[in-house]
Amino acid sequence: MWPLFFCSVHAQQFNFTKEIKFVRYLQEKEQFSEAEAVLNNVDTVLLNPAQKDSLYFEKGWFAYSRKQLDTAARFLEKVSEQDRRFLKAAFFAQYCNTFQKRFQEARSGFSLIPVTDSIQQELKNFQLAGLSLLQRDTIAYRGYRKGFGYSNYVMLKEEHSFEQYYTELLAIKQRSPAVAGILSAVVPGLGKVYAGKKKQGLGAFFPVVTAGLLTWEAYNRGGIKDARFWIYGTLFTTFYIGNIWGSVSAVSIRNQELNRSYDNKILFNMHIPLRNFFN
Amino acid sequence: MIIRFCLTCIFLSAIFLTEAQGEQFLKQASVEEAQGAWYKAGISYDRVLFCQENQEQVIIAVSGKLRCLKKQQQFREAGKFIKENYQLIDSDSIRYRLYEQWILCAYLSDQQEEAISLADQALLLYPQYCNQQWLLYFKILCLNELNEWTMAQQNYKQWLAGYKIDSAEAIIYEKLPVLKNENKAAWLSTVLPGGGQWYAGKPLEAMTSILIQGLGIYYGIVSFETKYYLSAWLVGGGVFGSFHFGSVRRAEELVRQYNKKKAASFNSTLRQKISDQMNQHL
Repeated sequence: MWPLFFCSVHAQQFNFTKEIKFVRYLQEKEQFSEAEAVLNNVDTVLLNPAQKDSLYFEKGWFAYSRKQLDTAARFLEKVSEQDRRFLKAAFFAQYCNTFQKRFQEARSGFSLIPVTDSIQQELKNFQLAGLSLLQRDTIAYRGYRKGFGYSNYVMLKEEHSFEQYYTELLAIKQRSPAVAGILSAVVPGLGKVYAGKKKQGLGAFFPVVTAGLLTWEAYNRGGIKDARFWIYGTLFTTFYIGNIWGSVSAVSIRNQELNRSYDNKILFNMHIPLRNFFN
Repeated sequence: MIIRFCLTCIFLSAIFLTEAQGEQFLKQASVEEAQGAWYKAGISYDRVLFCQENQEQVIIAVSGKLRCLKKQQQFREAGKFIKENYQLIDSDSIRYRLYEQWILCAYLSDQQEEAISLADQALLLYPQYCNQQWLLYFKILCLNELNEWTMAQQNYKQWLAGYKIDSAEAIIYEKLPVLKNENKAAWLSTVLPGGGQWYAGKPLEAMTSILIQGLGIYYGIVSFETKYYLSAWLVGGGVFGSFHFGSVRRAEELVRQYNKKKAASFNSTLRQKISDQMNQHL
């Protein structure tokens, strides 16, 4: 009875290992949909805890490589500490959460990762510093950067980059939508120039001025009762108000773009040390 | 003693499992294929290829997977699959068969240039196995789709000679569709509002274009006469100018559409005729 039991356990383990190898084989052949189907068909009830960890890691890593970050985070977080790839899974899971702007979840996730040596601790600090920069929490950032060693090749360049972003973010003056609106009310299109969109400013200036000139001509020639005055006047008013509204939006968009460009740079720099460290 | 017995059991069960796996997967694949579960069957054939136990199984698995992909109309993926796996096959004659399938899949996935290149490769790599007439047939079809009718005609004459058919049959290429010139349409629309649309065979669009541009001019003149100079230039001129330039572009687009339709219709006739001839000689 016992030998048969052992045989069956071994056979199951053997099959599972082969199944995972088969998934990797499909991935190498770029048959991603088939690989996903095979992974999803593995029956977790029959697996032992170590195999379950393996399966979660594979599913998470597969989703991560397919840029399905939500699924990736969900599975990578399930990998238990007993698995040899636990640290990798934990860091990447929290990176996926960070990328999806789940900052609170990522912060507590990163904080809970148990580290055993100074490099791992520095990597953890680095990730938390990046997270603080993304949240524009400069006080927290200053706290975490104390853990930067500026000596490990894994994150040396990125630590310097974070310092640079930190300085730049402090120096940035966010432009005011109200100022843009007022400027555009005085000179059509000027608010867009203020928002850093010179061509759009010119593009807004000409239609408003043209409609204004047509209205003025209609008023001059036919007076207030002239139908043309009302038609062109309506057109002018629409363009004029639209131009003010557009300038207010342009400043908000410009601020968002600037923030997004820094967010992308920070996320990129958070990712490189993870790849360096775990590959 | 017990440990030794266990180890023997494990060893034997492992051997039993690995030996039989390829065969098991093949059986599973054929059952799934018979049920029309092409996707599942494809994965089972992949498992056989992953095991790679013997050449016979590999051949069956490659052709099975290919069949499944074709059934799912995934011709581009099928081409990619052949590219990845044809080197697993040792036999040159079977490799050539795979090349034929590769050409067919490239043609069906609108990769005519790829299909032509593959046909040339097949001719060069497997001269002893290749079916020249079949390769020529596909080259002609591809060249037609690319509107390279002169080259297609040369190949067609060669193909006819291969079946000892009179080359006078190639007369079908003498009546090439008369395609219209995009530049001419643009030029016509520039000189005469609506002229390009008329040339492209769209008289209704031509009339609309004339009407709108005429209205712009009319409004400009009337405003000018009543001393609304700004209105005349900015509104009348603006409406006329924007519709005029738009109309030039539209005329070019219409001619492009016309040419595409004409070429497609001509190619369809050619395809039918050549395929009928091919079927007669198969």
